[in-house]
Amino acid sequence: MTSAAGNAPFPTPTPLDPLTLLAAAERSINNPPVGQAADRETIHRAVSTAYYSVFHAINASNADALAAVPSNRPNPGAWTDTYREMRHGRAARYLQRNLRHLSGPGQRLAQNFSQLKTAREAADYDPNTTIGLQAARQWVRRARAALVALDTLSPAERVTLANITLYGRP
Amino acid sequence: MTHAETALQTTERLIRERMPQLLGDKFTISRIETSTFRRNNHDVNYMTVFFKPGHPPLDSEEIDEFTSTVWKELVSRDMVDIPAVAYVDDEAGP
Repeated sequence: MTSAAGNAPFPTPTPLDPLTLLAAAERSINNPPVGQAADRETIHRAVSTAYYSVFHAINASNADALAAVPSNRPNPGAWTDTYREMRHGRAARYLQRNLRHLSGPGQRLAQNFSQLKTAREAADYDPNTTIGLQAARQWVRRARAALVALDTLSPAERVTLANITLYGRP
Repeated sequence: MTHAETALQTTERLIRERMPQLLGDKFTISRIETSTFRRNNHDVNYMTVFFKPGHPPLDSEEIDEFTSTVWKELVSRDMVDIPAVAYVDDEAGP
């Protein structure tokens, strides 16, 4: 692949695959070593990974919506730059403030993303929080619901989603 | 009272109010556990709602709807630092 501006080659973006991330999270808690239950570390990592599956999916959607698809983008760096642009806390706040601009599935995505972000922070950083196996399975399920919701958004709503999560306006 | 206490208490009160209104007697709360800590200038609030055994499956549509209704109501109140809420069966542990 070469850049549109010239002949300089550039690497094809290879973002983390959200469904593979989610499957890894699910596998880790549902298939512990024989005779053992999933440990706290594995469970907390699964919650974190479930969140990141949604985070990366929105990043890719934003990049596709605002900077075209990787193989057809006018600026070789634009897709990657857009992919990297979203900030966790800001995106959650912006989604909550702009909920009325989103469809039902868009609102479901916003809800699950915001809740997963908080659950992930608790899982990763709070030594006083213990998230159990049942709860972790629920967070994985909510991440899957978020990915399904994102899949159903129209191209126009994906632009809206990108504008909201990155700039705070539809 | 801190922001975290307010957010957690408001959320718990709303859940306890809305649950019988929206789900009837299908789900009975046995206890609610919360945790909070400060990170990057905001509170990270986490809540686990434990149900007494005998309720419908926790992956049912009705609990998803309930979760969504509560969250949207908290958003409509402009609540900052809305807790992440997990719903689990008390008998099976968190």
